[in-house]
Amino acid sequence: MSAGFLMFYSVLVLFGMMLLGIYGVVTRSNMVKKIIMLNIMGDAINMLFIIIGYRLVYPVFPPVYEGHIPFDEFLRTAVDPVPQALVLTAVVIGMAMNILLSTYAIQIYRLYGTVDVRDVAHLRREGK
Amino acid sequence: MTVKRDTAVALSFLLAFLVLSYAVVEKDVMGLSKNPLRPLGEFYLGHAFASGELTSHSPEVVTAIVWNYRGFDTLFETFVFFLAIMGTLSVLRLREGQERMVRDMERVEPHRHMDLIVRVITRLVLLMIIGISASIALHGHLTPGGGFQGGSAMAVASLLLFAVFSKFTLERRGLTLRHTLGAYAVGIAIILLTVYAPLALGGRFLQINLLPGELGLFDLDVGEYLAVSFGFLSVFLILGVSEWIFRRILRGEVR
Amino acid sequence: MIELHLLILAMVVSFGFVFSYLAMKEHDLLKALALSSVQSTFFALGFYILAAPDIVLAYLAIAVGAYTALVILAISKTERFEVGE
Repeated sequence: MSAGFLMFYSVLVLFGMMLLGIYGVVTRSNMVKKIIMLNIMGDAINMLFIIIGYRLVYPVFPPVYEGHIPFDEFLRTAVDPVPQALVLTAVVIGMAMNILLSTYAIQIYRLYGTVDVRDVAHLRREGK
Repeated sequence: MTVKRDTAVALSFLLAFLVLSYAVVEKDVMGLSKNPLRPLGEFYLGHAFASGELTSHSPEVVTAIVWNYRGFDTLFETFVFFLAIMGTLSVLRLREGQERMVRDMERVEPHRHMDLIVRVITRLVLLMIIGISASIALHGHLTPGGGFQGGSAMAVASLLLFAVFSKFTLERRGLTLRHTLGAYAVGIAIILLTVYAPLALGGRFLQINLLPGELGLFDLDVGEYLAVSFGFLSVFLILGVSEWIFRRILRGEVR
Repeated sequence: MIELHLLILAMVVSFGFVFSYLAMKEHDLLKALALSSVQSTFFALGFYILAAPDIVLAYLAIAVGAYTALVILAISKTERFEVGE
């Protein structure tokens, strides 16, 4: 199997996983389940970003210069550091967003006694 | 009705998948077939450790990008993190009297007492995790690691602490929400000081190359380490309050 | 030899897809969370294969440790089972 085929295969599976995450967010009505599916979507997108920065050269090195090879060799073999820097902050900020979302879910459960979005909409309309 | 709607949703997602795969495989919009090193990445790789004006004194190119070349991005990410933590704390906020009620009720809560073996081993593992996270954060400008990574490793240590010792044990030892928020504020203050320091040296905002050597990167890593680890710890401290206590307090507020 | 790396990546991503599908189909939220953290573990391996040590350090601690514990807290404070379709 060629390198290009495997690369495209991974990217397509990740697209499928991203859409699966959005589908879960849209169709499931439990808020905690929505949070889980949102995370699956975010993971797929982060992996796609890193794949864009990967390079198809054989001895491939992380973007950390350790002095073990000449500098021009390092430039030839290191992967692209820009997507990694973007994803690094996205992972931590995603966790902070998860904390905020699950706090809201917990607070809604305390106030309405349910985390089902349809029931919450009902209860709000009836003015309970 | 709902079956029809679900089918429509599934079909539209299938269509989106087909469009995306056509664009990537046939039109190669992501440039995957050759995957060259893009000019921006080449610039960062070439300049991060080279001597010259655009260097950032760091062989770790990711940390160099995160805190030097794209410093504004990360600075505002830190503020987003701050807003998320503050949003959580303000949703779960308690007044003075309510905090006293929580303390009284936690005293009567059945005390969790784990085995001696579990407690001793947990102490050892905790020391290891704290050491490792500090080492990840403190030479993040030389080896893979940095403030975000060290802080998230430290968050795991605080969760392990919760699983084995109860929250009450921590508070008796003097680790309350006030202290963790204070440490979080110290982290943010270190970041802001480092970011404003170049202005005093006659430079521009966030021009941390004016500081001697890699001091700028080191300071920002330490600040971010404190901010992330203590931000998570303070949220978990307030989320760790048992649910029946919160219910009782809320009922008192409604009445 | 780059094919070997990419083969491991393709396997990791496929396993991640399978586990996330199972997580979507699961009605017990704790089981869904466990399946999604298995997917996270596979993805951490994938980040390692893609030569991103920084991401591995942050992602492993966040997605397998802190996120799982947070959602377990949220489930314990709300409901364990997802009801209805």
